[in-house]
Amino acid sequence: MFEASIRQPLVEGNKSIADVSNDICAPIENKPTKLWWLGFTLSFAFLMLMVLSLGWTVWEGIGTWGVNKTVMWGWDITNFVFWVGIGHAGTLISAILLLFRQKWRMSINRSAEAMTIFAVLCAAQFPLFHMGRVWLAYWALPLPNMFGSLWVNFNSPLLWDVFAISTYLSVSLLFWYLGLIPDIATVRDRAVTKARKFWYGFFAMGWNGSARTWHRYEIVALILAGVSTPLVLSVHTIVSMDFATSVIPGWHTTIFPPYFVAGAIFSGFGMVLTLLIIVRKVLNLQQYITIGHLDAMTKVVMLTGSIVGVAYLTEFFIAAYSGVVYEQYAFLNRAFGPYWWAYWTMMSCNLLAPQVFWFKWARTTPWFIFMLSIVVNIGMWFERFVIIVTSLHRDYLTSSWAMYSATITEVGIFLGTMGLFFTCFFLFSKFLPVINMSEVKSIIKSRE
Amino acid sequence: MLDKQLILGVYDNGDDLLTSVKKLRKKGVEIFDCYTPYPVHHLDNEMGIKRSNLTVGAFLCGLTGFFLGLLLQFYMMTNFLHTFKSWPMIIGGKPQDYGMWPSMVPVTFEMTILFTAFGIGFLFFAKSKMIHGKIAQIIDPRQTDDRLFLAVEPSELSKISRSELDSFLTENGAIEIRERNLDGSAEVETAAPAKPKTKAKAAPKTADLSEEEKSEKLGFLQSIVGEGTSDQKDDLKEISGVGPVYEEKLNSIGIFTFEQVSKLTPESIKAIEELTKYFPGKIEREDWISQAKNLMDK
Repeated sequence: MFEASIRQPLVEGNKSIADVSNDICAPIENKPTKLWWLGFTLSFAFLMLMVLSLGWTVWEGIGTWGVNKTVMWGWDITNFVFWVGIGHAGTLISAILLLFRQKWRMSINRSAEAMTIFAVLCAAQFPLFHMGRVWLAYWALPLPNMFGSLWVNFNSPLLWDVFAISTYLSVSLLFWYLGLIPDIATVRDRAVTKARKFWYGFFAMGWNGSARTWHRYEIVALILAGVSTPLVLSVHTIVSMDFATSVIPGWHTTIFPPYFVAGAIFSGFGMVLTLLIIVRKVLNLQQYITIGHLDAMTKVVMLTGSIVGVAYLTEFFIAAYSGVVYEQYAFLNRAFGPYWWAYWTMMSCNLLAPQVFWFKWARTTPWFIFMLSIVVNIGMWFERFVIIVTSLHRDYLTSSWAMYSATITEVGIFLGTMGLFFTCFFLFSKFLPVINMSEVKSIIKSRE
Repeated sequence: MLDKQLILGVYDNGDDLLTSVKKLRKKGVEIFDCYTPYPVHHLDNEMGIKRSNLTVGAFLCGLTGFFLGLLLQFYMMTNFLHTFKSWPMIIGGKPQDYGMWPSMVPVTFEMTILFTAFGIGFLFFAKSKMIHGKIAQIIDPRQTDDRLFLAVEPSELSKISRSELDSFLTENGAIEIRERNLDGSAEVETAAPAKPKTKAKAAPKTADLSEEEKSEKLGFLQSIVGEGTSDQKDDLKEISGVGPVYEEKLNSIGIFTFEQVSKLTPESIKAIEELTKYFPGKIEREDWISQAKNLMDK
């Protein structure tokens, strides 16, 4: 195979095919480490916090939140958009980079896709529980009913969201599972315990690596990547329409769809970096998830961060240029009103901070990237908070202006979804191969 | 499930397999199938597999989703199908006929994608005869791990003699020739003739050791850690990094106690790695020796 000499190898350490299986199956075949138990226990505790806070919300009502008639969307929709955005990096890595034939995706796509699925699960909690009567959530679906056939409203972007998010979740799951099948078969054939043989055998669906199956498999992977790409772009576009189709100053802009998609990829890569820097250390996978991978991802962060930054400035300019006083006021209020701290946190975390990645040192130093990725996560959370809360709390009618602050229940739910996310991720890292073995085997340089 | 009887060439890399397939087909020998742990590029072309028409299926599924999405919305939102029996939804004065088509774009789009993705997914599983819980027809457990198999049906022997086929495969990089049934049940195993591999390659790390080497290594190991018996057995799984699999392997080479592990030297670790063919570098990386010492003190 041709190898360009200026490129770093995608997998380091002169791995043989057998080494790949050995290294990556190790966490599955061995007892979990103390560090794993510690992380899992902690995450599970936070998950219980979510159960508790949501339980309290259902029992007592939405009154336990800080939202009011003016600011009717608070932390819940902020968190919803935050989590959906995080999911986007996974699909970008597995689908868009597949279409662009970027081979560096191969050792990170599995965990990034897992992240997508878990993040969308977390996101789904918020609109569901914001409905108040969560047991009636199925009313959001177009089901035949007894109310004289009262259907859902297809003019509403909130309903588009129902379709977009559920399609996104299920297609991502399918794509992820399809990629897992050959690796599950590997674990099955290496298994020594009966339970492992049975369960991995069950989910491997009789995979035996036949060339004919591989032929079809590659076609399916390509088609799924092809449909996932417009899907992922549509999902955040539709999320942005939740805002853009309204007439609230600060929301009613046409820049929202591309701006939200770029922001989603930005925040998603922030989270991928946070996770993978931990994973490569804890599971000892530095030779698979190399500095080269981190370098490539930080470049994406820098690019999308800059796009988001340009969008912030454009919004401001257009508001001034439009001559609409409400629009002008909304933006001045963002920057210098009572929530100025949120606005400037957003600006410094998203526009300024990623610019350090122009320097090679910053792109290749894991601890530094880790810190920056946390900054990106914080910044993107604040972006959604700024968009939602500052636009709502002072709109056209001065008599209805209000302030909003989250209650402990809302904080509990948010921290709780972190618990849900990490609990899922820890279970995934114990029971499934965190790196796509079959793909990595096809790109390692020296075969034994 | 005695299926087909096959002659198998076993390879350890895709490039050699691909060359063999190419050359064999030039000789007119048809390949029954190949079994590989990873997708080998161009193997499907070289084997002469006809391009699957799954893409057509995906398109039709997508089309179905597209029209179902439209139908759903026309049915619920307009009177196109005379469905306004009770509650037309008049919201914000928005149109209730064809004029509402811009609102239909997102949902129609999502339905198209949903049907394409799941359509092709299910078609793939159906065509590959895959279903949850199906017992896999595995010739060798390593076919999903680190070995590639080229399978030829015995009927092809009319075109090439058996000995010719054997030496042809070995010349092109096969490390072993076997006869097996499709479900992996035993047939005579023919050892590969002395390897006349054209390309000089470093000996694979996990190469099988001969019996003499094995007993030599075992003897060496025992001279260092001492002989252990299963009745003094410690629970080696206490060592972080040792699972049930590895414990069994250690037991099989005569290591049963923490004391024995604590006595390991770099040479003996190497011997263990060669004997168990498992995780090179793991023992040192996870520092089993001091772990074992700590466990002994407990």
